[in-house]
Amino acid sequence: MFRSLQNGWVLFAILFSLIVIVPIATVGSFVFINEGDTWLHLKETVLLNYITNSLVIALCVFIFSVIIGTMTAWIISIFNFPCCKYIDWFLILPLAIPSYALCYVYSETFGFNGFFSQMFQWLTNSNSYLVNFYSIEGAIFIFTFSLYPYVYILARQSFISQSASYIEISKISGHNLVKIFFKNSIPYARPAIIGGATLVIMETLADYGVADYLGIDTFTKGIYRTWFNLGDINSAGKLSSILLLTVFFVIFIERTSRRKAKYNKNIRNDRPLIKRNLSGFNAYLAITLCLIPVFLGFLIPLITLISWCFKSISYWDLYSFIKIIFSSFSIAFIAAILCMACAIIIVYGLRVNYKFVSPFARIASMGYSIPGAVAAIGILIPIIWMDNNLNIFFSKYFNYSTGLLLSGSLAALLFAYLIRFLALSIQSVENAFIRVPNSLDNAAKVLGATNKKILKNILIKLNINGICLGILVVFVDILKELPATIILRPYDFSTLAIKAHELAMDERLYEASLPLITIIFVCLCPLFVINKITTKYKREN
Amino acid sequence: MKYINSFFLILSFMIISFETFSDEINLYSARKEHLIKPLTDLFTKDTGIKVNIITAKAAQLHQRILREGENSQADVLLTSDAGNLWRAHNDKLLQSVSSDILDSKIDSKYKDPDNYWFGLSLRARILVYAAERVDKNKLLGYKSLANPEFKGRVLIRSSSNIYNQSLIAHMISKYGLVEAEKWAMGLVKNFARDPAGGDRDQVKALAAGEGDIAIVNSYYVANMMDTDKKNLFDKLRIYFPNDDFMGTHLNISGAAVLKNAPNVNNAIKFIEFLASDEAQYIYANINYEYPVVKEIKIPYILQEFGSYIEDNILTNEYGKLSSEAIKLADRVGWK
Repeated sequence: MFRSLQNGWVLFAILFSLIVIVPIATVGSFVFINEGDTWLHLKETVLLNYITNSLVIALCVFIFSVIIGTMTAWIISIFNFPCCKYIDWFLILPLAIPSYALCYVYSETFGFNGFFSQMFQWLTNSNSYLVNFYSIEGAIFIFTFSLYPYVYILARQSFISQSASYIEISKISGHNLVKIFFKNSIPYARPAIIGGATLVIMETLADYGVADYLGIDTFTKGIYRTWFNLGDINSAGKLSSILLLTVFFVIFIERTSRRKAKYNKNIRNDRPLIKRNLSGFNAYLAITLCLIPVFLGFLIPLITLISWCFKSISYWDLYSFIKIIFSSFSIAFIAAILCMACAIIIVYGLRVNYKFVSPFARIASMGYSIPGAVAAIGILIPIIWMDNNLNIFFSKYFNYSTGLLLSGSLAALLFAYLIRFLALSIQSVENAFIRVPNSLDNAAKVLGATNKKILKNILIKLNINGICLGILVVFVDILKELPATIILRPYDFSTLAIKAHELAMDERLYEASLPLITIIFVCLCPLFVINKITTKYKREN
Repeated sequence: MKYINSFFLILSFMIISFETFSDEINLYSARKEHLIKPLTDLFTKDTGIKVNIITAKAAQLHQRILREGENSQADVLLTSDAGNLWRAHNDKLLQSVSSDILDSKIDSKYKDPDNYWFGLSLRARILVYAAERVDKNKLLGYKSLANPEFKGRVLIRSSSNIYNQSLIAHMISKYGLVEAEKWAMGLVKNFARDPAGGDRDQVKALAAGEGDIAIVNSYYVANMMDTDKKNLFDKLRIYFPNDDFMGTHLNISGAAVLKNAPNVNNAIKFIEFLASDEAQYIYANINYEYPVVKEIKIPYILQEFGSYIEDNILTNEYGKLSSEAIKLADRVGWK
């Protein structure tokens, strides 16, 4: 064991993974605290409700996003039809819209005097409503259409890298397209699909914004309520630990499904698949199928927000708005790079010694599922402890008060982002590195290359696309992040998401639209880059 | 490696660049930034004291101050609910302030008896009803809303919301736990739908005919009825609940100086400024709240609402009973 640790990569991989343990341990330590009155009260009244609501939402979102993500990814990667290049890009776009923004738009437009309910009432000449978005079904709808791109991106990547010869062999064996889809493409892409779906589930379970706005009692909402309203940190800790166990279980399932699938060998030298041309009715069908999620997850919300924005533009003044944009953008970028640096080290550590590092890396992945505010307080407790001790130390020996050096600065916030989003970076680096066969590392080693060189010259160079993609995905997510930012930000530090949330919670949706639109457009830039990278990658092949 | 070094250099620069000024106060605010910003701007203009604002939900701020302990940089805590001020005082986070200005300006009903916190504006939890479907003479106090005649007609938001928790706490202190629980049970039976959305959503649902009576905060309604969309709500009326035993439930939005405040004098100056006529006028006109200083002119729409009969229970009670109130709501199935 100690010999393994002598390898610097393994050591650092473990150390960086262990960073994530800090809040988990802080929160987890509450499990061992005795059941108090509040816990018994929760058990008797609302606990079951929390569990069933969360599970129903997570399960349905999982199923629907896998169906939508996989279907569209497959259509895009196997068929050639008019505009398919653009649609390919459009399908990622819902990622740019935060779930809570989608939630504001739909609950408003389908609510009283909203655009769609007015239209529906005019069409049917009645006084009733089409859908009530303040319900579990509403939440499922919103999560599905804002999160399916996670499945789509990973599934498409996997479909594109599939060898043409597999499909040709299937064709020769007399399989039709449907059979190829189920017997060939899906099993091949399963690790990627499940990987994407795991992200979707984790996002759903960690959400607070949507559940809070729609008034649905989910687990995360229960944690907030117990912690902040009932003021019982122990029971909230207990709830959090149950949530963490659930997520651990999800990750466990993902891992086992992957291990059985055994990583797919990369077939870079093979010809890429020649897409089948679609025309006439089939082409229209393909376009329609792919555009439905784009409309629901992107176009409708964006157009609605823009129209709100025009109505409320006078509310904002330019200087303060630019200041917010700058602070949002810089913190997200720095944190995304930080996450990626740690993720590369961890994943490389995994590659050097899978057995030893793997359990630690899995723990690091759990960070993603810690609800923002719980993670924030899981960090705040140890950081303030450190601050107080630092202060005592400096006052004693240097007669200088450091005050709240860490918790009053961006350090705490960066730490929280690292913990929350490291899993995302790890996922994308892993998915990228998997495609480079181990034999390449071994060959380099035989030729005398050091680990550093292998990482720099082989893995990073070959996977620079995947790495950029990983940075961008984290960047986008941090721009949208809410609860941890609210709790941990220093004075006078505001982000677009915070601004939008404050206004929306104050039921001023129109005023909230400008920051939301800015988030969306800023998120579009990285998505545009993602698209460029993938097209370039295709061309090179 | 060079890049990594410079990256960390920039990073540490950013972290250390957190600076402090001598003439400033740090404000922990549960009031939204856009509601408090006009006031702080004016204060800075008048006094030259810089105001740093951090906003979050009151309970989150509470946890933060609690954990920051002696090193806390927070000077003033601003909440939109008396319960949270009481809770902060209960956890010994506040310090008592003696100020002649505050004593003379703010009625003793709206502040802590030992001057640990001060109310600055008032919100009433009122009824909005559809004039066509509800007979005004049938409306009484909150208690009557649990009567079977209102079955399936009452709209109210979730009990997770502090305004409802304070209302329930008020009911408990007025009627005792058993009676209050019976009331809440009856009220839940009378819900027109599962609680969803905020106060404005209740009014919208009312206008859409989903229910007949909505329990909401006064300033939301005033705000909605004072915009260009007011014609949507012209069939709705306002009623201040009161019966022989209980008046209208009022909650305060207030401020307190924190125990470990580094800038105590500036903090007191700031609260005194908030109680000044100028600031009180802004309170009333920016967010349609009732000022605690009674001579201040209130917006026309609030004058139209009429006047309320205040209940005699002290706002201190809301905080004491808030946990009890949440548990009660869970037991009766008030989501």
